Amino acid sequence: MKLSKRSTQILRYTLGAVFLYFGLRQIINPDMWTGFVPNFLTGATITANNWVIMNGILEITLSIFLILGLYTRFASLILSLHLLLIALPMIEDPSGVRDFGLTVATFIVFLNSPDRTCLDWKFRKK
Amino acid sequence: MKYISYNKKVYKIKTSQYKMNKRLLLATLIIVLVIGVVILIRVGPTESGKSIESQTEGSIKMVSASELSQHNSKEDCWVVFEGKVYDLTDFIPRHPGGEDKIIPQCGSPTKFEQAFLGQHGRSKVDFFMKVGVLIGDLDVVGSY
Repeated sequence: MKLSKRSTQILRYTLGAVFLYFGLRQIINPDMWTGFVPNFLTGATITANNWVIMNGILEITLSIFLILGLYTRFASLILSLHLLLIALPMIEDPSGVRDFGLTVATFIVFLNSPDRTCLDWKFRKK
Repeated sequence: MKYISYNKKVYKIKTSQYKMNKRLLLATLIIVLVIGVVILIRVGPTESGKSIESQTEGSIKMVSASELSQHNSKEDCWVVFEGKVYDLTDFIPRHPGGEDKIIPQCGSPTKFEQAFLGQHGRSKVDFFMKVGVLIGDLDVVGSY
């Protein structure tokens, strides 16, 4: 198979691995990420720490979906919107620009149809 | 077509619908698995809120420039931001940009703030306040 036909698959796996890595880091050490939680979200009921853990769960789950190709378009759309919300407030920062690039790359996965290696392809309607 | 029995009745469902349910089942299984693993990881003593608790405990003291200059290593790093002295020792190994970006500023009354604002602007100030352990105010008068 030509490499160009694998491009979508490579992009999907790579982005899935990136989100999985950051999701795991948030679970293992949430303290490091609490600075990114907006002040209006933190309160007595849900602390910044818990927001980070919930965000980590979301990112890990959707990254697994992305890697397996399960609900690929849904997972990539949610992840790209999620990353856009993170990137936009710090767009003047180098890491904000990087995150915006990742947002667009994730959105490209949404724009593409699930490839043949996706579980979505196996479960497709006949 | 698939046939399933429920409550002594037999129902006919389309194959596509059946496969869709299998996909949903797999997705649910993954979600449950992830949440289960996270709960297992998080069970036990955590370091949650350590930095914030440390900031509120104890009284705020005045730190002279000479005292500040003694905390100038990776193992003992104090920095100054907006007139306040913070201990960044625990955060240094976790700095996403690398340890080398912080260590040269340890123990200096001015270097850290310049480097921090130059690199991040004000976008990471809240984050810094949470990871840095507040030691006290920089004693500007007593320093000279």
